[in-house]
Amino acid sequence: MRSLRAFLLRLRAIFGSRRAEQDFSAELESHVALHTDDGIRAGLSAAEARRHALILLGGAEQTRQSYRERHSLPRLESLMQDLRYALRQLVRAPGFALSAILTLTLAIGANTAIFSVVNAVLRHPAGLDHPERVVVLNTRYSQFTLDFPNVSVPVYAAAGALKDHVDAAAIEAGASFNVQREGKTEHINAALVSSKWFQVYGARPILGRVFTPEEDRPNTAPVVILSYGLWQRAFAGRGDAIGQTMMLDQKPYQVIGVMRSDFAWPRRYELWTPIALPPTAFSPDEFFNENYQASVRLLPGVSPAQFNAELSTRLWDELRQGAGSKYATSSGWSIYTAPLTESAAGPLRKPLFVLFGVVALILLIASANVAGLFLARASTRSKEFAIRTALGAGALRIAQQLLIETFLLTGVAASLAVSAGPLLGKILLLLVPHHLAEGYDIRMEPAVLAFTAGIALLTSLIAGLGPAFKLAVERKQMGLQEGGRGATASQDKQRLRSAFVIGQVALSFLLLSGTGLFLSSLQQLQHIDPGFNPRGVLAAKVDFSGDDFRSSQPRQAAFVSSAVERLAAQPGVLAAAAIQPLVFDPDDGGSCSFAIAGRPLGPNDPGPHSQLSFATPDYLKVMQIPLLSGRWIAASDTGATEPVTVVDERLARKYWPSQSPIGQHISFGCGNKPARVIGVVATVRLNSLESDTSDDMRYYSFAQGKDSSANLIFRTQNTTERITAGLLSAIAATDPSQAVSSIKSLDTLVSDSHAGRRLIVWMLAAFAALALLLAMVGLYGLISYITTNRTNEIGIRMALGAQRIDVIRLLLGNALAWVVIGLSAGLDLSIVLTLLLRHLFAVFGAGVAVSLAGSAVMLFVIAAMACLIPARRAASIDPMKALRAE
Amino acid sequence: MGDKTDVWQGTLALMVLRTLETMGAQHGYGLARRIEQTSGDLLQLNYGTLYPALLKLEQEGFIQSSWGLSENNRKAKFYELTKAGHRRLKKAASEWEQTTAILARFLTPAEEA
Repeated sequence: MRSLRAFLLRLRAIFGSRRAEQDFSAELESHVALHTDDGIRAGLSAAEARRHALILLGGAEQTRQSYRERHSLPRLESLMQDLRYALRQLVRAPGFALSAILTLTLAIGANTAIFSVVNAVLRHPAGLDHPERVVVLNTRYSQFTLDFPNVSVPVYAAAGALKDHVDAAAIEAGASFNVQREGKTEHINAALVSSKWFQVYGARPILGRVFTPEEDRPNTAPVVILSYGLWQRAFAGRGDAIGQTMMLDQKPYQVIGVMRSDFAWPRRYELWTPIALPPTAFSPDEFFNENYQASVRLLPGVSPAQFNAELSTRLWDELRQGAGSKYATSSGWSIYTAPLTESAAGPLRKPLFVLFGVVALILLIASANVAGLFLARASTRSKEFAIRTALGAGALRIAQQLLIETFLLTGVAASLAVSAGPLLGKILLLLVPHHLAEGYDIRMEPAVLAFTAGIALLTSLIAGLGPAFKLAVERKQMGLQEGGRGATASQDKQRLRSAFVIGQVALSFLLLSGTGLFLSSLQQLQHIDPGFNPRGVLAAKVDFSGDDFRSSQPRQAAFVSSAVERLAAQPGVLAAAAIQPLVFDPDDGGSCSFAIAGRPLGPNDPGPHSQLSFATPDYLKVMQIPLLSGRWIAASDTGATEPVTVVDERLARKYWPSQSPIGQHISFGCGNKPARVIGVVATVRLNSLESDTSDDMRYYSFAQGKDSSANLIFRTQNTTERITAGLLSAIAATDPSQAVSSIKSLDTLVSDSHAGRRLIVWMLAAFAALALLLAMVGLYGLISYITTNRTNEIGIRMALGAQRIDVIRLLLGNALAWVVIGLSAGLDLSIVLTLLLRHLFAVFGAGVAVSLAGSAVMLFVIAAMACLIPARRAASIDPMKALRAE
Repeated sequence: MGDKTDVWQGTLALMVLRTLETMGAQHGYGLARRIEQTSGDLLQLNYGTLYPALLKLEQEGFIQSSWGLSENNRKAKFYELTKAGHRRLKKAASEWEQTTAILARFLTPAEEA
């Protein structure tokens, strides 16, 4: 306690030591005076008495010094001195300070921005409690190369029963409701969840309660929990919303809870209702019907691997007790878990990792640049350091001085970066298609702050240690003698700087060639033919509202055919059709098992599996998909005629490798009714250009099925607002109770599917440009510095008859040698990285040679230009002036 | 000067506290003289070392200082014990006595050997 008090007093004394010094001088004065008085009284002369008093005091200055040391904290004081000195130094060289701060701010800001996104998306999505303990269950059929984040109810039940490993387990299915408000129909995404669902995500309501285990049973009174946003919209944020009734699909639900504003999970869902599975859903027959998402919160200390192993053992036990183990073995069935953050981030994950690597490179380049700036400055300050050394500054003190200057610069840069970083992160998410970025909240969090502080520290160490160490070691031979007469700087002095330049060139090359590679892979992607022509196609989604409408197949068929007719009649519309689900719509898609007539299934064999959609007669015309054989769905295929289906080429080949499927019968949709195959069409990509993930396709007649929504699509000559307006009025005229919920262009949907790749290309291009700029500045600085140092030598050479071109060649030769070394190092790195990235990204790696060569040439030319300017300037000096310069 | 002993580190603080207790408020020079006198002029006190020691005691809160006038009307800074100083002195003195008592047992020649 006492020593703490003393320490704090000494700390305070660092500021305002002047007054204490005066005070102590007065005290010493009085001490000497009192002592002198005594001496005089004892018979000494005044002068002698004073001399005696001073001797006994042990020297006034020494006393003052030891008093000073006790008075405050000398080490800290010298640190403060250095800090003040560093500030003065930087203010005196504003150009240097500004360029260093700008460089560092760009680099640290880029890192903070990317990290803030990584933090919000991959590390800790807002509103979730300990997301690292939440895992999502996935099903894999290795024989069918199927892998999806859905499981069946019995699998979920088995996971939930592992009480030693699981804190809570929940099951979930997507749903949507139409809500009538103020005369308008609003379409709301909802999740049907089991009662432990909120516990899994660690989400607590701000109002009301979450679901009880009783509400997991079917036929309980309908209840609903609202998201914060919906509560604000529908109830204006009133507290009395709890207990009120809300009409969902024209059925009354009682509002029992409101979630916190930061909790919107699954993203874009706005309300939750109990899933209330019937007991039959838990039957072993349902083992291979993966229609639900299941997530689990593990107990603290349980690793996902442990849980996986335990779950697998239990599931295989269950399978062996039933009859499913044979099918599970033959299909390569297994269940595995993935961290929630990983499966939720989806297509954003890889680009974020790549960008994270890229900004780390930028940080290195910027650090090298600032180190180079410091070295250049240090050589102009060598006299200052020599004088300080002569006055007794130790190596450490000089190193400390330099490190403090770098810390100061990075400190300023980091505080600028911290304020700008998360903002940049938000902008970055704006570049990402809405369905990927929505629901993520980028904020200034302690983790982001800590990260920025960490990289700022790292940066100042990288940028500061080299120069500081070098100066501290060199300080003895440095200085007064070498600086006094302008000889050419020793080779040794340039070595560190040239190392920094080589490193910068290599790293810039890496970024540049990476940009080239991703750019060509993007072009490659864009040239992949999806099997249909998305250009000029617009799609309008109608979510059917009204229970009676949803359940009435004839009404839906009538609505769709009449809406399509009216659309086709619009001026500018070439063809119109309806399809459900729509290709490349991330919110849509459906698949199920089907049976082929005449091919019996073994026990527990779910049979062939494929995706399916419902279409109207002009679908092929709108999409420009070729019909390969037989006929397409016609207007005459209605609810009153025989059910028909058209399959795609791949499905036809798979199940009828040697004959035509036309005339065969397969299931109608997912049910047991048969449908006759009437034609075969070309295969199309369903949701990705990057990889062919489609799982065969069956088309059925829209007029023969029913659904909860329809996509009205039409090909236009020119997509103008007039058409959009016409479309809305056409639908309104068909049935005023139905409304369009969204209009998208198919082109946008297709290009959104490789948004992650495009994001990488854009960001890489920006970062590569930044790196190039930094490397150029570094090179330019190095060459100017060298030429300035060699002015004298150049003067002598020119006086002895060297021509301008000789001088330029001399200077350029050196610099370009470094560039070439940097380029070859960068080339090696690029090749290694390309091989790594090829594993990570499908459709990647074409045009390696072009992008490597292109980047090398580009970098070389730019580097040569950066060197040429100072070299030319040096070569145009007047030899007489150069020799007299010092 | 040869016979005079330098002040050991650490004991000076105790001497200062004890002297202030017996004399009351005192200035630095007076303290130094008094310590020398008390030691029977056996101690050679470098007066300069007294001031950092006083400063340390003051920072630790055992003494406090204020400017005043000396007996022959010179301005001087006077030090006096605080309450914490009194407690500290009592504790340090008893610790010191114990230490010397223990050491004495070692250093006095053994009665029977």
